Amino acid sequence: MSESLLEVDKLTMRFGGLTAVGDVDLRVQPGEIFAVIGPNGAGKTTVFNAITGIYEPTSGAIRLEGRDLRAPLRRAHFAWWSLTGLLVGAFLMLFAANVDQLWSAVVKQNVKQNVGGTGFDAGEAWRDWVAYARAEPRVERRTGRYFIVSLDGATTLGVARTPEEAEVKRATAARAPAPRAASARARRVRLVVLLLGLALGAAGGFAVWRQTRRTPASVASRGIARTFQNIRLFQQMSVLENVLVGLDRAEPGRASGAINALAPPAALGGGIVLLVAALRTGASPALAGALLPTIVAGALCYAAWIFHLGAFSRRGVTRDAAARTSALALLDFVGLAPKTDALSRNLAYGDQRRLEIARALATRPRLLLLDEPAAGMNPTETVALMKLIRDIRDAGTTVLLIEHHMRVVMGISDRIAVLEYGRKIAEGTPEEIRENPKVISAYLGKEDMG
Amino acid sequence: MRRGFGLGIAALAVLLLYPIFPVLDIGVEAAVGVPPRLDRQLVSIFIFAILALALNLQVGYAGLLQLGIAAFFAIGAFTTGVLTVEKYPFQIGFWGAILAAPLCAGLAGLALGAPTIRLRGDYLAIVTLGFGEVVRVVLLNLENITDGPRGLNPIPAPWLPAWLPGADAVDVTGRRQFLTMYYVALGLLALLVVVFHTLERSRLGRSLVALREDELVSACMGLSPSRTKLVAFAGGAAIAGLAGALYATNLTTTAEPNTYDFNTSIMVLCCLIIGGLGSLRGALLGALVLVGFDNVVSPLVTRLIQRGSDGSGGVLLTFSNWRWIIFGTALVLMMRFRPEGLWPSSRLKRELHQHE
Amino acid sequence: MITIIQQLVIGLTNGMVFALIALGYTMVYGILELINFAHGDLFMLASFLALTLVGVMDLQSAGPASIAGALVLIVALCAVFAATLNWTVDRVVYRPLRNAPKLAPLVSAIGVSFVFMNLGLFWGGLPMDVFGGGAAAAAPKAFPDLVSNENLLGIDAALRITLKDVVAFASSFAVMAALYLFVRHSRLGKAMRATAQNPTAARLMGIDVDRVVGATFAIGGALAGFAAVVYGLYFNTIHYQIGYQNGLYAFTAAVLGGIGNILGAVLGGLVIGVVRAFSDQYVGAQWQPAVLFGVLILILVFRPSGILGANVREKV
Repeated sequence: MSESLLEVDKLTMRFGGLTAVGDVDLRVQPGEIFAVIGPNGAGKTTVFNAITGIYEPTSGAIRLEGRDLRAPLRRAHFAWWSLTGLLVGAFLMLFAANVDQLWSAVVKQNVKQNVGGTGFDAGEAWRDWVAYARAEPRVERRTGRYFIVSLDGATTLGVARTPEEAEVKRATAARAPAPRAASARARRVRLVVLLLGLALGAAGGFAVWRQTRRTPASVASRGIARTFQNIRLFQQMSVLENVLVGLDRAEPGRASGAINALAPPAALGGGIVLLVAALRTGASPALAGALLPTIVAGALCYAAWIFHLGAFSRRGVTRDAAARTSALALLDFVGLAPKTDALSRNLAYGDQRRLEIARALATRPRLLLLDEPAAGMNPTETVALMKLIRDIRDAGTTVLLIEHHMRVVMGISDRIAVLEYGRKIAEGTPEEIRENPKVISAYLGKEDMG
Repeated sequence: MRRGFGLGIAALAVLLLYPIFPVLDIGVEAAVGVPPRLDRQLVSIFIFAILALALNLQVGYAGLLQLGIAAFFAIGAFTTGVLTVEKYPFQIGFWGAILAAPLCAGLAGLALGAPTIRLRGDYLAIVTLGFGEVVRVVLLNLENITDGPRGLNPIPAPWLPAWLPGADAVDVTGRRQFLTMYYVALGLLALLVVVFHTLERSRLGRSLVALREDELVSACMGLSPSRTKLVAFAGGAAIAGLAGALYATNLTTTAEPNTYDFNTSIMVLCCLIIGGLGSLRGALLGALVLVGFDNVVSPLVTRLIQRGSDGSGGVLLTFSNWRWIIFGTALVLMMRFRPEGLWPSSRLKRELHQHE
Repeated sequence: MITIIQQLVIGLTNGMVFALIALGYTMVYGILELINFAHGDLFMLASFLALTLVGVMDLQSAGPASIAGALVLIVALCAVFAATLNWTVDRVVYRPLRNAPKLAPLVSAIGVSFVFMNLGLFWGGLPMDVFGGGAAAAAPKAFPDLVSNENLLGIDAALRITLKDVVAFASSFAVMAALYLFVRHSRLGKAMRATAQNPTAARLMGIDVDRVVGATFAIGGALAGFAAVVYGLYFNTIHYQIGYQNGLYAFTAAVLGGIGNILGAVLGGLVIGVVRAFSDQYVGAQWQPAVLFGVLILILVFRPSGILGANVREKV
């Protein structure tokens, strides 16, 4: 047997005590039209929902071209979880170490002592920061003298006249038993908080990843598109816009590709350059006046980025013109070309079904899932639909459909699977199914086979 | 579309000229005897309009019920405070701050959004509400950094490059400083209006509408709802941060953290609802109506009411004490009789009336 | 160890009050999927009514027996008041919006909440002694200490459990047990659960959905009225913004437990109460909201539908 496009392996879905689908196997070959039939409540739509990631299967595997639809665990994920953990840990540690006090020690103290003097000394601030981070005593300069103070700033451990002397005294003070014990205690608390944050953040990252391993969006981007039994169009959008939504992921467009890649780093880089420049000049109007062009450039960078996010559509820019052409081609393919600008909810029922198909096709799927596409259609529309489905198959998209309408199923399917009470009772070509006694007794006996 | 464009240009022209020809001021002064200084109120209106646009991106376009926009407003204001006041060593000035503030607020938005954006709507509402409280409490408690209830001040006014005419003259009346603020706020608002106008017709705008209309289906189209929501969330937060930077600079202080409480968030939401959720022009109108009511109409009415009394006032005689009854009733009546707002976008109007 | 037990006692008792308010949120949400923002402010108004009644009956100087009798009367009046008010608001404001998009009733609820809050402000301005003669309408009002504050375990015992704690806990527990039995077994309770699961089906089965929703609002309101009296007696201070603060905590409790779930609301209330007590003890009272919402976000990351909440699957 050749490689299957879609493999559903022992799929089981339980809701509470109810087994909606039990141990169902499906193999859909590339380029075929595969139908799933069965009485109402047999679990057909549930299978669809499990395939498209709306439901998480109780057990069983679903593979597209041999690869599981669940995102595999990669080494990068561990890096992400660690990063999340580190961030959460660092954040918590900042609060555990009392960020307010830290600020006071590193920034406020150093600004205050220099009022009217030489200005803020970044080196001194850095030394205070290091001392604070190591939970050691630090040096504060007040009225020209150097005070060695404890971690919380409450006790003075010594006084010095010169910075060198202060550094020596500080080192001695740090080795004294009491401050040492205090430092050790503070460091222990911080370490515990860091580890706690690390664990929480990493676990949170893992939990989020597990909940999003398979989402409808990730399944769709793997190349599976679907329609819905109860038509779900974007009702307030025009016919064209509906298709454009489908196209949005599939066709990034040539122009935006480059901008996509370049704009965020450009904006970020521009912002950082600007900030550094602003930091260096301070609030001095003279220097800053010279910097105005840089600032304008940075602002333009941001603006360009935002514009790129919402780049002009309707008329003008290339990529949307291309998307529009593709959308019109698709609408033409399903026979809705004359109704491009109508509001989708004003369409006739059959047209709405075809618009749903066009929207699904717009995502350029390899596998198209159709949930009762012929429901509510009149005989003429049904015939047109059968032709459309064949055309879709002939254009290279494999079709998996649920249908009650036996003329459609028998007329276009290459193979058929029959579900009853959530279990597969038969599979085969239309001829085989037609003659299968199990199927006839379960289901088909009640209905004219056409 | 054409008409809207013309209207926008006309409004912009009027606003550009207003500080030079304060027509209404002269009229009101003739009638009441006191000039209401409408041009000063207009700056507040611009700032709140920017804030309303930020919230509109989240609530109006993306349909995320965000009840804590004041938190990002506050983060923007306090970032500006820390980075510009004289007592801290950074002093990057106004122009640096209006870049840094949105960045910080946007990052905060990302940090809040990343773990919670997948939550169902009502859960997200409570999380954002809670975040608003947390930010306020943290700002109050970190007294060494934020000066607690006093707020950080004075925040320097925007400087102008030396080659601009009159930039180095002594600004005794504060007129130049005011005009700078006025035109900066107006310019940024106009820029944002253009950006959002473009956005509405763009790919991102479409995925936002798709998300609001039917999250599941938009996901089945391969548009990751979490990503779209996160963009709206962080973007809205960043713009709110920008509004915060302007607000603090305009006041020359960050004001106390309690300024940025739940009532402020709801007030911004009121702007949107009264103007029309999801409608660009509606958000602008809402800000005009609400801030105008608060800052212009309400003091005037109070003065008129108390003119006759002995001046002791009493809780019922101060008109601003009726503020929340008026806002609350307005919300209820709007929802009942005109849910699409005073000046809705055509798309939203359809959405809200589809059940009838 | 004693400190831990003590904080647990405080936390559980506080938690019961939050749970009472949370029930009002969760029951309405369960049926209408509406966050009834006005619920906290309804609670606040009821607490002002309770204080007014205390002032009218001149209870500060009464004996224990008459206080007990008067409290029962106050509870009854506050419950009836809050129930009627809540029912009326539903009838006038929310019912016309039943078929509107979800945002409409929610925004209305925010509006009602502000009207209530403003009314509370005016109410506090009444020229009564208990309100400080109306001097400052916005100032906190002292609620007299009507239930004994003495330690039941003896004056020197390390652990402190007062009659007030016992009364608050026991009465809340009794009310919740009654509510649970009511929802589980009574006709109306069953109708409520049916409506919560599927309003359309319930209507087809002959349940008068409007009546059920009205009853839900009334019951939630009565619980808030009861909670208001307990709150006043227990915390001894009320002012016009307690509705917002406690409503927020209570709603957090409801979300934490899994909104729409009655047992979840109680559990969430207790969790909130205990976390609050411990954070006051070990982190500092000023960080209370930060710790609470940190815990909320943490729990929602791991259980996006709350502790007892079911994962809701969308029908496709």
